[in-house]
Amino acid sequence: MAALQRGANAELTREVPSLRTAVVGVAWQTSEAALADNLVFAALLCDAGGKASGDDDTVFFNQLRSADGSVSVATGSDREQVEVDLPDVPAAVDRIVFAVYVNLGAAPRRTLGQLRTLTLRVVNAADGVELVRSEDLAPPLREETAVVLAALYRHQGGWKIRVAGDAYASITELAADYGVPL
Amino acid sequence: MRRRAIARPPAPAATIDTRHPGRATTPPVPASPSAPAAKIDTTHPGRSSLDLSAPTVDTSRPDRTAPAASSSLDLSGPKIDTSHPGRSAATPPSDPLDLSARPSDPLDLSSRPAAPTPRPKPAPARPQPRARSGPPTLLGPDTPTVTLTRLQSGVGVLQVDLVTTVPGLRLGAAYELSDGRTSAIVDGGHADAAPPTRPVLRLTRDRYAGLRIDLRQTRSLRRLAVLAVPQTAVDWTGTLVVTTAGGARMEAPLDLGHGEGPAVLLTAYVVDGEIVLRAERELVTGNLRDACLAFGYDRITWADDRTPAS
Repeated sequence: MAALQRGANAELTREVPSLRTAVVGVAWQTSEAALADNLVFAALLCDAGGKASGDDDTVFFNQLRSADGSVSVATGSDREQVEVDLPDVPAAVDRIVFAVYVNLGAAPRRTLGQLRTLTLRVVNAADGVELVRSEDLAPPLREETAVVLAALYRHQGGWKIRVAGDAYASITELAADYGVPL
Repeated sequence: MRRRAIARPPAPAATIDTRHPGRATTPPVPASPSAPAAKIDTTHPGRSSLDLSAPTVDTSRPDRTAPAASSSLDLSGPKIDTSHPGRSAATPPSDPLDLSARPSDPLDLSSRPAAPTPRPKPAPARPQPRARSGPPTLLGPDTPTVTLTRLQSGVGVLQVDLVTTVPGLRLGAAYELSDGRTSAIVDGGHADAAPPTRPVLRLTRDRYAGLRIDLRQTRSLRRLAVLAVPQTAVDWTGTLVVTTAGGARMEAPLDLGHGEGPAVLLTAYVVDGEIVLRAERELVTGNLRDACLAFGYDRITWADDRTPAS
């Protein structure tokens, strides 16, 4: 299976009409333990304008499930995973954006440029079959500390996924772009 | 202002959010899936877009929204711009993931429901008010409490600064982790961060004495109390300033009057992933150990009345 490049998209539900629960997983490699400890995988449930409203629309380690219950943190063979029950996603949610950021806490500053690899994949929860996998999104990253990996979005009654790779200086700027109040 | 010299019962332990447990239902993934479910169109593998804000639509190709498309893994999107492989923050996108519908755009999102039903918002679990950006939220005797959202409680650091001209104040904090470990740190003490491995709390010294709380580890923190210890009797003045990663600011005036003992200025409890802050304004008769005991930190090991074990 060829890796999905930045900007490329894939029809998920057209090829797998039975797809109900998509597991979106992220994997990374780094030799920096302080970076690995502070990496966070997050999902933002956005409206048609590309905006998320806040806690209810954000799923990450401190909000394990969206308010509507359709998107939740999961565990599995990836570094981090988020499960999306596609039929249960409210109609007001037009796209679900997946991002990784470095939580700039008490540790010395780390950046995504210290990642050796960074990939995202989608797995059918029903049978464990990997549907798509992104190309390695790490090489272009330098001093940024947040990156949008991909978006799962509605398309003609189904769902597609598009790989992004949009990098930001910090989670604060990424959140501002998506209307997430911090 | 309240003065307190005796210990009060320990505050109840914060509860852990069990309403939204992470599910662990993902089945194991085969190392080599025998039947990839999505087909890939590799006839134009090098034409993927790296610039989502201004895709160049290939109008020579059929409308890929047509259901008869032979492949649904469409890698033939807009042209590659290898000079900008990752969108940097210096030039933030106007729309971070521009999926807006265009007549000939392969990402046709125009089939959305015409009038989506707004999602119901659950009632807030914690007491109001909430911390907001803009003017600082005043934490005074009438409104001592503010609750941070789970985002504010889990992103970046929570910075606490002791903004004062009173000389000789030592900032410190007593803390209890979710695993039960309890101790305290104080400016000028044995440690400026706690716990020793992967600290949740770190004392800082910039223009003012400060305390940084690593919110990546919010779930590891149960509660803390921010204290200040004078070297001699002082007339308390100044402001304790708390700032979130997003810039929301809370201010607690330090007009506590005259005193020579430590003051407990602020407490924080992590409840269901949300940090509840409360301005305490408590002058304690005694020493650092007495101040910690007064707020229920009764399991700290002390080298002496002013020196907690790390």
